Amino acid sequence: MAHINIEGAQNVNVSKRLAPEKTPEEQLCLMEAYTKAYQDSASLDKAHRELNCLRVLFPTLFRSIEHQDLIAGRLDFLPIGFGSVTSIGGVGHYCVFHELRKFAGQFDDEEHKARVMALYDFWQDHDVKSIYCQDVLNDTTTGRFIDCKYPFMATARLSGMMLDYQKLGKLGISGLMDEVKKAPRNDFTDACIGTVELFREVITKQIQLIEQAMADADVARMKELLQMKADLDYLLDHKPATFRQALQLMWLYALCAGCINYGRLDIVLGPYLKQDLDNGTLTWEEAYRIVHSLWTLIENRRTTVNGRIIVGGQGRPDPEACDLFARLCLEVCRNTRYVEPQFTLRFDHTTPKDILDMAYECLASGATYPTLYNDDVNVDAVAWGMRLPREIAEQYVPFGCTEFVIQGKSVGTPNTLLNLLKILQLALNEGKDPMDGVYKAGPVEVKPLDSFKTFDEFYDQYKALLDYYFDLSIDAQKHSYEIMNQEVSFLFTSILMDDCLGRGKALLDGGVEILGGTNETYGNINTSDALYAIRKLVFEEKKYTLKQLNDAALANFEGRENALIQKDLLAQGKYGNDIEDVDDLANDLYEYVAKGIRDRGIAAGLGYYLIVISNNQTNTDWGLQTDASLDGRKKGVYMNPANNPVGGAAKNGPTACMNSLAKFDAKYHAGSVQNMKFTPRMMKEDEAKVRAMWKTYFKKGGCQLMVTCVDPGELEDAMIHPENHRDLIVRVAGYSAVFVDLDKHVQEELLSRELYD
Amino acid sequence: MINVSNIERFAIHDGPGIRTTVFLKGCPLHCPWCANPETWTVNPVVMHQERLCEHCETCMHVCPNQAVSFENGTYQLDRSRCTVCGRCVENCIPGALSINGTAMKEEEIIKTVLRDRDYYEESGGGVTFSGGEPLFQKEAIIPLLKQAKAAGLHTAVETTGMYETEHLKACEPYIDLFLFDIKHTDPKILQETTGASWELIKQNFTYLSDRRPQDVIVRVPVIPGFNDNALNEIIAFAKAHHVKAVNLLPYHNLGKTKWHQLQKDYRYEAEQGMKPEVLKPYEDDFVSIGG
Repeated sequence: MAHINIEGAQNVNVSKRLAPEKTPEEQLCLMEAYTKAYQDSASLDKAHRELNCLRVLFPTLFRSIEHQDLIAGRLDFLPIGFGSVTSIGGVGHYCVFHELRKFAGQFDDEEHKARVMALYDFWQDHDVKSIYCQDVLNDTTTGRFIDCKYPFMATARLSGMMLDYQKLGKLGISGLMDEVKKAPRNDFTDACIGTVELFREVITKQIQLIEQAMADADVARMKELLQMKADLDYLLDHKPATFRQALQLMWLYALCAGCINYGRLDIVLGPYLKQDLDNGTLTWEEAYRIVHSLWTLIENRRTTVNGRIIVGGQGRPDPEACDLFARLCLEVCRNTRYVEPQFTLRFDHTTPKDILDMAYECLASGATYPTLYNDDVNVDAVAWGMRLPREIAEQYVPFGCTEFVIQGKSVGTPNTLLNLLKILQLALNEGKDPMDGVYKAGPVEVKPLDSFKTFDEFYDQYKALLDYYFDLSIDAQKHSYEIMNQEVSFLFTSILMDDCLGRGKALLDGGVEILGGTNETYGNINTSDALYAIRKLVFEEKKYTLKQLNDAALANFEGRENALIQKDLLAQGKYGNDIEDVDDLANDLYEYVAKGIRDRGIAAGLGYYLIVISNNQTNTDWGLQTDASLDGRKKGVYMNPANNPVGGAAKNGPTACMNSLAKFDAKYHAGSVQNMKFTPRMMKEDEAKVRAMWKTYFKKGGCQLMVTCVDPGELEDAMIHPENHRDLIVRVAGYSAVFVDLDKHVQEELLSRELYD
Repeated sequence: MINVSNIERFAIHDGPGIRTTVFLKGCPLHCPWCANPETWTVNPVVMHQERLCEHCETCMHVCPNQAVSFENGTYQLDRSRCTVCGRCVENCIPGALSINGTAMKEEEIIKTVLRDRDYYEESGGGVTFSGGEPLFQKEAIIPLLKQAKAAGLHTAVETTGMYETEHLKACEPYIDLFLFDIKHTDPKILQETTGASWELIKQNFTYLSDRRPQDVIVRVPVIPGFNDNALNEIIAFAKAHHVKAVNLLPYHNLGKTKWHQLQKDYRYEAEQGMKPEVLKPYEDDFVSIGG
């Protein structure tokens, strides 16, 4: 098979990146040095090769301290390097080919261009994701993420790792080194020793960077820098003793590990905060400024769909101290308008009222944060879904757009993505995708439409296709772990994940306690609405044949007769209106998909493999390449967001919508996001009623809620006059964005959603 | 069966808490500012949105009663000929045509209302019957109210007060809260503008306020040029009857497009919505702005 070139966008990227601090020449030299370190390590095991490569990047790639920083640590990344996630580079030894090509464009001379392209050619065969893609991608069923021609996309990445920073705080660097040295000796743990040494070098580098920053500091700034330097000095030989030190240590480690989601920082930092406030060594205002600095550092990483900080919820050893930190974060959240961090509040029936009040205030002010996760539902759901004891499930954390992992204990990266609506169209067209006429049904026999005598016969045909794609999914998910494990050890990550050191094994080599995974499903509601319309119009009312409906869709509902059919399709009951039989069918499809994926995960020996209904903006991107559908949607139109209603279809008000949303049992998924838009007027003037509504929704089993607060006409105006709306932040799906930075199609999808006033 | 114009869930301005408002068809009044003119008739009506109309004239061709015409490109409906058969609506691709009004079984309405019971319980809400005049469909409203009470719902009506007192007496036991419209206290002005009888309204109002003053809230749609100079009299009247409160509802023009959809002339075409601040001077413990 010919080599598959995977150049192209590999992640959703709305925020504009800061350019690396080093000159292009320096960057090129670094990438060459990285490549050489990789090549020179050919005779070594993968762990030592990784360490040698990391030594090229760290601490060199750390950039200068900026004048507002109260925590040290700003890290650049290049088109070639080492990482975990595609938001900041790529996975393992990576090359981001389209970025590298762009990088080459900076040079005017052929010599430099040739040097860059030599790297390009080398990494074609060595980039971890490329290696994976050679095995998995094909011309019909499976595309790379993001290539929306296919019903199924697969990728290799290690998204959403949230490490055990509590352990880091308890041990400090020396303690960590002792721990590593106690582990069974082998190549992996030997490389871990080098990794901890490298981390120490990173800290030393920060001290130098602070000294450089002192050169032009005024008296006030000098005081801050001295404090930062003293903290770093202390950390070289001690475990953290203060709030500042604990945060500093955690932050630098997360940077080195390539982690862009941080997790339950209230558990990690709350006790230090309380201690410092109690003994008078830190004031609330100082603590506020430090957390604000953290917010800025996270914003500046610009990872678009990540940056999770989670506070609140069950399973916290010292809730009082944790809530102090939660309040501090809420204050910062209220006063900033950043799209990251994705600040998240886990809550339950015991959450203090003032915390809920502050959360409401933040949302009503248009912050889009915190996103709300209901522990009264989620903890038990996670325990069941992932087959874990409750006390472990209590440590669930949403990353990225919402996927759950267990902090410090599980891998749950979403390396597989399914377009349920495209698969439905295969069922309607004897296995061919009407978008491009390509047969995409693999070995599944897909019958002609006139052979289906009952709705169930047709539904079974669709399910047979789904089953085939579920099989592809589990194989692709597992294979991503095999390839990543074949190539790298993820040293920094492994050290703080249970129980890699105890077992003496790298993360994906049997080290991590719970090897899970997630599958992102798209078009769920367009599909169930389409199935409902088919059942109603073809098999119950017998108003049309299935072929008539499908022919109308193939014609994109153009022409008078087809347009009348579209009108009929649109007039059928839609999910999101609290209509019993519509929601029942949506739920039936949801459970079929969720259980199909989950059961395959269990059979394949994974800790868990669960669907997530989260979507970044792939519902829009994939919709652009999905043909007209029998819910009445035209060709190339965005699909529904997450498991929310199709835009404009929920006409019965927010309570009806919430009743539909609460119908899906949370135990079958590993995260599903519910987006709603309310006006500032309603949020302010009708606060008591809005809160009563949310409370009821959560009591009824609602697992999650996120809120965009906009005036009627505001989004429309922002599309025409973007310059007037730079501060308008919206919740796209599992992430927030400055509205005017979004792609036009995504803006239109957001606009189509119901705004409650 | 009872004719329903619309059922609005999460209605938050029609009584306490989160409510569902059931808009019933039929009204004895014809207020020129009415926000729901489609409810004046008990029977269904065809509505036409010019904004969506593509002037394809399909409706004209499919109408079996020749009720539709396009003169100078403008949609016209001869309502004396229209039987509301729905042919035009079914064939209108852009969705410019619709029918307002459905006959529903009482239990069907209650079933819909009860879907939000949990929200009512959390917020102290319930069901509000509005319209039109909710008591207008005399035969049907009583069983509907009875069923709502039997289901344990808090019931409110948004009423004009314009019906026989005997009918009110029959309904009253099943109504927890009266949102009682007082549009004017001058019999002549009221009669001329809305067709209402102040005498009858006053009689019904007094009947209620004598017995259950705290279950009555006076609502005043404040209409420029009609009653914005008569608010003190209305407030004094309400106070004298010891009712719970007065809500002043500043004029809004949200009903305008519905007048157009019924091809009726709207008297307040040029009027903008009234700013709530204008009514600030009236605000006190007894009088509030908004519902």
